[in-house]
Amino acid sequence: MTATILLPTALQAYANKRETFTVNSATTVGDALTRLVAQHAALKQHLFDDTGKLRSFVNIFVNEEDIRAQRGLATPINDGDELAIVPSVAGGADLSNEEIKRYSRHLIMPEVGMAGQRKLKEAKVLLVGMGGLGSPLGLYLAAAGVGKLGLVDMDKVDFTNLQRQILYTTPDVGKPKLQAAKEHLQAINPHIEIELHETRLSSDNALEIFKPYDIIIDGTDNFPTRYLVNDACVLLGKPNVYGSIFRFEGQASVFDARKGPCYRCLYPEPPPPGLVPSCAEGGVLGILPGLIGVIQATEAIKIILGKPDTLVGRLLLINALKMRFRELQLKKDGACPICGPKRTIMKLIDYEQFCGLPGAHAQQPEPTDERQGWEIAPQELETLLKNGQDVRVIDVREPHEWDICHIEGAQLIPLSEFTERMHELNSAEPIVLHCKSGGRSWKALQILREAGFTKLKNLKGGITAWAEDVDPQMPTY
Amino acid sequence: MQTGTEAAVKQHLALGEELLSKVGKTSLLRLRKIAQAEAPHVTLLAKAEWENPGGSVKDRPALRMLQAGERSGQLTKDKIILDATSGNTGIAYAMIAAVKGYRVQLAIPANVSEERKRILKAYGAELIFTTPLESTDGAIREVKRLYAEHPERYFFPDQYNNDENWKAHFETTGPEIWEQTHGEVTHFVAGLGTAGTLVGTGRRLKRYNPQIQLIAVEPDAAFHGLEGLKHMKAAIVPGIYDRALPDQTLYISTEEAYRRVKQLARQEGLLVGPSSGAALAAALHIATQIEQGVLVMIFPDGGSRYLSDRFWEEAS
Repeated sequence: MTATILLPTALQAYANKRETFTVNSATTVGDALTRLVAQHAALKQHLFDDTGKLRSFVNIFVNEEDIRAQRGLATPINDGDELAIVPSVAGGADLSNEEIKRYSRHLIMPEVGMAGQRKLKEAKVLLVGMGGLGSPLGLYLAAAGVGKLGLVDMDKVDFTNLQRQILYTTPDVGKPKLQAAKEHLQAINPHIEIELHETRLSSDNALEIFKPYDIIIDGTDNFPTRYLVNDACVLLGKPNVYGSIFRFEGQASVFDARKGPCYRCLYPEPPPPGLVPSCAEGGVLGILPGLIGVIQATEAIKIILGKPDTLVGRLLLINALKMRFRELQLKKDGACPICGPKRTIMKLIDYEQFCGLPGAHAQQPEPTDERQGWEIAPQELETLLKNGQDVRVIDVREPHEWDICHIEGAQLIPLSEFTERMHELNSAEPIVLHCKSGGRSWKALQILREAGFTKLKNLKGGITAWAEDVDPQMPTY
Repeated sequence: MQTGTEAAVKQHLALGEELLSKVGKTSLLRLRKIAQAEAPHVTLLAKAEWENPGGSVKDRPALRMLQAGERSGQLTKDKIILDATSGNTGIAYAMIAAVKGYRVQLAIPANVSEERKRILKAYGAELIFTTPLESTDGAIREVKRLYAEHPERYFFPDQYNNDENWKAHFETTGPEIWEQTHGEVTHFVAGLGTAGTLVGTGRRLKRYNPQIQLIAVEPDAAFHGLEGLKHMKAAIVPGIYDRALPDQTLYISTEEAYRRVKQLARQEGLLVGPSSGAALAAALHIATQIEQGVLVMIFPDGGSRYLSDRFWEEAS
């Protein structure tokens, strides 16, 4: 005859953190409890008074029936019965019947079980960035029952997000991301708590925001924030679940300086500004953040459950176009300025400056004075074309961009082919160069200037400005 | 004839008092016999919070939280007041809502005593029963679920995180104690549940006189039988609790509190709840540390709500 005793959270501390206790061949509730306290002596004083009587506020339920409504400690128990010990007031963080049903596919796996699901419920995880990576992270961690999710972001949902940020729907466009995220995540799982940090993560607030959480997940898209997240995690001794994406490729790892390398061990210095394009500049396959975000979510769950074999010390490289997964072994860098023995960084620094960026609010480099005199506004160009002026419009973007939209009458010479095809142009003719927003066409203009061309103009703001100011029918991307 | 009646009613408008105006201004009772027998060098004073119209100290924060909701526009006549409480806060909401004409829904564990359920139903509150195995946490989760599903339908005061909770005591309990002791109070003793009483009253008393000692009372273990109190180490700490505020925290066992409850009934004629017993137990511990003093305790509620608790049947 086997019965199970369920211990409330408040008592688990006195029973080696056990949640259940199995008793064999006990015939009454009193019998079963005697065996329980024989095994875990510290429980005795919490359950019984000096005279050996059950303390008056302790309730015992056999299969959800109070024994005091039956025969008290003499209540018989049968094979498979469940005994629950409940104080008359204030309980612990246990799972409700509804939650048990919800998480049943977890509960029937011994690797998770009730104990693991309670760990998930007690876990506090912070998602930094609620974009492409943050979307699948939020969805799966909420569904899995992670008890508290913190979300950091301050963007609004944009149409260009919907191709990969699957947490958001078309009607969400224009809403603050966190507001929409909370609505959707809470709808998936009303049992979890969601805390919103609608702010720009900075050296001033990062430690304070991170402190209450057990795990930090990096779903950001820029280098200053990556280094900030890394350094704050090292300083606070928290795991940083890392993921990054570009076009068809992604990376994932777990940086935990207490057990392995940190992000700075892998990348001591950021790349020069502008070298690595962002997703907005280079594009990204919509599925890729899903792939990487789900790997990050998996790692977070493994950390919460205390499973070995996380990505600590390993960098996973994924190429979705070739569908190849590769793995690099990462070593802790002895000279790492933040997690090495001779550390030089003792507190958070200015990460914009560290990454060579001009400042927090000037991410788009402003056109410098040197461009003055070489620029033409979209309306001016429209007037020239309308008046039938002799002007050639050269589009230096790539052919796949041309397919999205182009200015009527323009000619396509991609910047990548510019030097070879320069001869197609006539230096006697006035030429207006353009790209998406003005950067690449400025480079093309330099090439032509060096070749002796003088009648040159760069379309200010590129085709994006043209679409806004001249042709509202034109799609933007 | 009719106009004559109306005139008569008008003439008597000034008679009688509004029920909600009776929240607060409770008596400060002297515990003469217990002090004489066990601590003759101190004055023991108990704030008789069961005198509030809803029968407990919770009338103070409940009224203030609902009034603040009305002022901010979050609580309107079409909203249902929703919370998880098996205890006095639920009764206070139900009583005030009856006066003001609101609907109240309370999630409570199904094993809450029959007399509690009857009090709540008597005031017209609607009850949602949750599984007894989960105690109040199950009720809290159910409320959060309901609120998340239809936030537009409910007003959720959330007493653990609502600043109006402690402010109620800052504005009423604190000044009352100061006046009733003519400023001679030296120690203030209160149990910790939401921490509203200790934080609000304590902040006010410290402002009057920073020398006044604030004594927090907690159950001695996570597994206890003191309704309304929390063992903070093992509990979700209320957002409004200020850990740095109390000068001392005393941990009282359930049995010691029960013994004091019986003593209060038999020696002082005061039928009070277990948390009052815990407050007295803590005050008597403090009395052993000092040479003289005026100790004010909060006695949160009366004992009639706990008459079916089993400790009454035990010898001693």
